[in-house]
Amino acid sequence: MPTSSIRKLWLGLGLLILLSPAGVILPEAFNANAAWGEWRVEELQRMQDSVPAKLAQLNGLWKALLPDYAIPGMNEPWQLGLGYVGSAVLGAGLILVLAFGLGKRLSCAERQQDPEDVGSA
Amino acid sequence: MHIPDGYLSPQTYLPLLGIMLPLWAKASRVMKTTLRARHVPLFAMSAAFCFVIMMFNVPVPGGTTGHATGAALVAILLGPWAAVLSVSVALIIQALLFGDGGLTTIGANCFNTAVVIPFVAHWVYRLGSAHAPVTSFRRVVAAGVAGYLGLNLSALAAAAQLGLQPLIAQNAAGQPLYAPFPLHVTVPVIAAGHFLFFGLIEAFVTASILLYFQKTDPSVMLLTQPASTLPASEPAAPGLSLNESES
Repeated sequence: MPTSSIRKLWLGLGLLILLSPAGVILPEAFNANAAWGEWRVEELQRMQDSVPAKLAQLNGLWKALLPDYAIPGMNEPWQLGLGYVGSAVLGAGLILVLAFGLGKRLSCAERQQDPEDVGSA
Repeated sequence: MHIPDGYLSPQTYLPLLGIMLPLWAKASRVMKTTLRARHVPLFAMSAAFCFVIMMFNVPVPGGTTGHATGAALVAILLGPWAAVLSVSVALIIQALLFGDGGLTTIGANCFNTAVVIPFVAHWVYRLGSAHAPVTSFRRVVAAGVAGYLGLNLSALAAAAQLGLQPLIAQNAAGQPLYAPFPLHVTVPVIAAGHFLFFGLIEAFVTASILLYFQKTDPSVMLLTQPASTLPASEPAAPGLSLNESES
């Protein structure tokens, strides 16, 4: 694929990242909670009388650096939006580096022709 | 779905992790013979794309949210095994850095999202687009159906895993220890949200981006095709259409 179309894809990815706060603002605007079945213990407590013992125990197992793509303690709407887009940049950047490294390790050498290519060349 | 820690019992999450280990190994082996070095940036971009598209939570009636995954599109363009690794990278970062999905449930979440969606989408797209020219609109429809079925079957797998928990693990009083909702709750509720909304969003994302490639650069749709099956009017190998400066 031509470099120009690859460049457009990078731009598209950047645009998606810039638009990502929609993913936190829209649910807030419609008062929508977490996805069904992905509640934290506190949310589950509000819905039910009791939280299953092992669920409560395991649920706090991991303290993520940026839980729910937000900076802990920054809960104003504009802060949520900012934390969200920052999370998108950080997450996408980290994933690009990791997946690029993984792909580099796994890809076949460029000079080596694919077996299928030989016949038609 | 990103199943959090605590919702699945070890009897569930350990076997699913056990399934993922050989699948990751197999995916790596397949990639070693199929991923061309010049496609590595595209592979990396696909993982970041899945991560970002999953951040677009869409509120739906009933007070919950959901999102597309991009996994179907990656499977259609780069092949299902590439999608296994690409989507897994995104899911693992989501869990580690953002607490989106649990650590114990990483095998379950990778199985549902990075295996079920890619393979269902891959086969549905292949069936639906068989013998269709690259420019055929049937391919766009097939991509949409592939995204719809892939996401919905993945959701059903998650619903089954969650709904089985009350049967698998209870305390002495018969109360559930992990996810508390039975199958006759999880399956209809999760199916409704996905069949009516999120499946359609995945279908739209998959079909519209495929349509974009069809109109702007159809060679992207042939990255995984063996060269021998390409029509004469197409470049012998998709990679050959690359700018010389890149190689």
